Amino acid sequence: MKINFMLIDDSEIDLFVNQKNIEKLEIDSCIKSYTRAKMAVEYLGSLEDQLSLEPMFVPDIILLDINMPEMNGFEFLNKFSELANEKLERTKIYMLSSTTNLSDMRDADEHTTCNGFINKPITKVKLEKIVNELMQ
Amino acid sequence: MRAFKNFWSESTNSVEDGIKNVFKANSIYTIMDSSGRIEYANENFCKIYRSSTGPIVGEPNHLLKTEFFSLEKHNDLWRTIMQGEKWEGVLKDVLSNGSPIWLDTKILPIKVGALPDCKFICIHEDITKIKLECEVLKNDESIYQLIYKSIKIGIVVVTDYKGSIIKWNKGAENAFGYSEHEIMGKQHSVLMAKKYKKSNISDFLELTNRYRTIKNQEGLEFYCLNKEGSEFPVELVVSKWTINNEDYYAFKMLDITKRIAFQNMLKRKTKELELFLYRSAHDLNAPFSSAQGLINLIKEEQSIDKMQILINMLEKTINNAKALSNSLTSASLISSKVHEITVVDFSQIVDNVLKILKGYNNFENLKFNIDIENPNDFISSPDLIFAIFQNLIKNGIKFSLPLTKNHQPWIDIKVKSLRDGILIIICDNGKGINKKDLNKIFELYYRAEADQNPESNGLGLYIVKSIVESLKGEIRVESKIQNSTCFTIHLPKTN
Repeated sequence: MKINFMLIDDSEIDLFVNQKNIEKLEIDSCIKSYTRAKMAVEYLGSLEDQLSLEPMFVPDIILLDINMPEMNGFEFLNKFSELANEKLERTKIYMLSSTTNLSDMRDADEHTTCNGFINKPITKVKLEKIVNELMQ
Repeated sequence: MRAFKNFWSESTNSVEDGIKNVFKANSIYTIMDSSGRIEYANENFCKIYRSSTGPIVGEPNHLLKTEFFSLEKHNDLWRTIMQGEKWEGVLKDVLSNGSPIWLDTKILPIKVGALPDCKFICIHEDITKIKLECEVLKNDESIYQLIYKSIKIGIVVVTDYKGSIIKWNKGAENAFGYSEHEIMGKQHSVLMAKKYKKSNISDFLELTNRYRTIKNQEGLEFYCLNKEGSEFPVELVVSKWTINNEDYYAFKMLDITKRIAFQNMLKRKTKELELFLYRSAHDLNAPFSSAQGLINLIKEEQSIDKMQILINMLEKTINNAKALSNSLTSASLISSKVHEITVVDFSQIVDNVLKILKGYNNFENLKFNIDIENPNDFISSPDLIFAIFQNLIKNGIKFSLPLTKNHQPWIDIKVKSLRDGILIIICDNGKGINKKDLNKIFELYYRAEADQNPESNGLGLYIVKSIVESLKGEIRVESKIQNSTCFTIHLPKTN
């Protein structure tokens, strides 16, 4: 099975690190990266208009940074839940942050569309865990 | 009456003699003829004028000729008694020692007949003591009136039970801007902020009820409306009293505009500080996790070339962390009060800033137009002024457009010396700022949408604004997208 990853992070270096780690998993995967959460929302919104889902990239896992200018991770989550697109029902979203800020973790936990909270940096082990979660 | 009138002339009876003696001893009286001449004065009357005891008898009744006795009153008195009626009134005089006396007086005709035979008895009661007490009271009252009317810090409005204004003080006049005659009789709701207004009477009840629910007579925070239509916050205390079965309300208020503004500033600053701590914690951590991620990759990387790429990225990450750390240092610099205060040399500051910023991209292509009117008497903190120039010029460089055949990027740096301070103007013909970002760019950790620069940390303009505020100055920004950005700062002279 092919797993589609969507990476959203304003830091290009972190995007690069995340991508490298996904490549290390040695699974069949496809990656789409965004430095601006707003663009990611726009893309996901456009999925609704597509009649056929075959040629489109539909993310299975979204790795979402919390602290970003313009639109942060939580704002993205709100927009995402408004989409109500059945193609995205299976999509799992994990929030990434370099701080273990308690209120951030709690907020992430309370958000129904968020499946988990991951401390940066991302490692192969952490990725394997979420991929397993997806498989179950 | 008849019996009394005959009392003097015809009394021979010993009982009547007794009564006469009691009356003589306890009353103050004179008998005068129809021309106002005193024919008889009893001992008590003479006692009053003791210091000026002279031949009272045979003289015109002085009491009826004083300056305190008006002609009108005089005529009225004579008209009354000549008709055989009783006259009553208060007569005032001044004794030879200068002290005033007041006599409550009744004048009665006691012998009626042809003019020369008419006799009148003037019975007096000395009310000087009461009058003087009243006078003191009146003085006190006018003093209190004066005090209450002249209190300027407090606002006092008095209404009747229906809420109509019947009195107010100078403080109220100043605060609300109405003149006294404009406001008297108006409903008190004229003075209330719009949000409290429904119907006049229910407002009044609601206000007094609301006030009653407050425990311990604490002040109620309330918004008032002045004549110009602007609202202002007050702390309100209401008291009620009853005179002659009528209720009155006194609304005593203190304008708390300044206090509220201070509270709001404090709230804003606290929020800023919280955000500052939260974001600083995150932003300081971010480069470390990036570096960790890169190091993990480096450890497992076999190819030297690829490793070199990773190391370059690591270097970049560390530089960003350093830039952030520097910004945080200068942000904290503003609040610490240990700045050297001296005459500011603007030319030197700009020179030094440009030296520091030389390494930035596109710097070599930029044309710097420097026009500095160096005031030699502007005293401030060169450190803070330096930080202003550094951040604004750095932004100008970061957001400059590349040099092309049709585009020569430039940055204007101007300092103008004014009578009351200085004006700093820094303009560029770079990328410009989106209209919707324009009022947010000074916020802590705000990064504009167009700002995809990884070195941006949302601190620069926040630092500039904080410095300008701490120097009691003002900052303005104007911008056109893809065209120009212009920051204007006015800093006042300090004494």
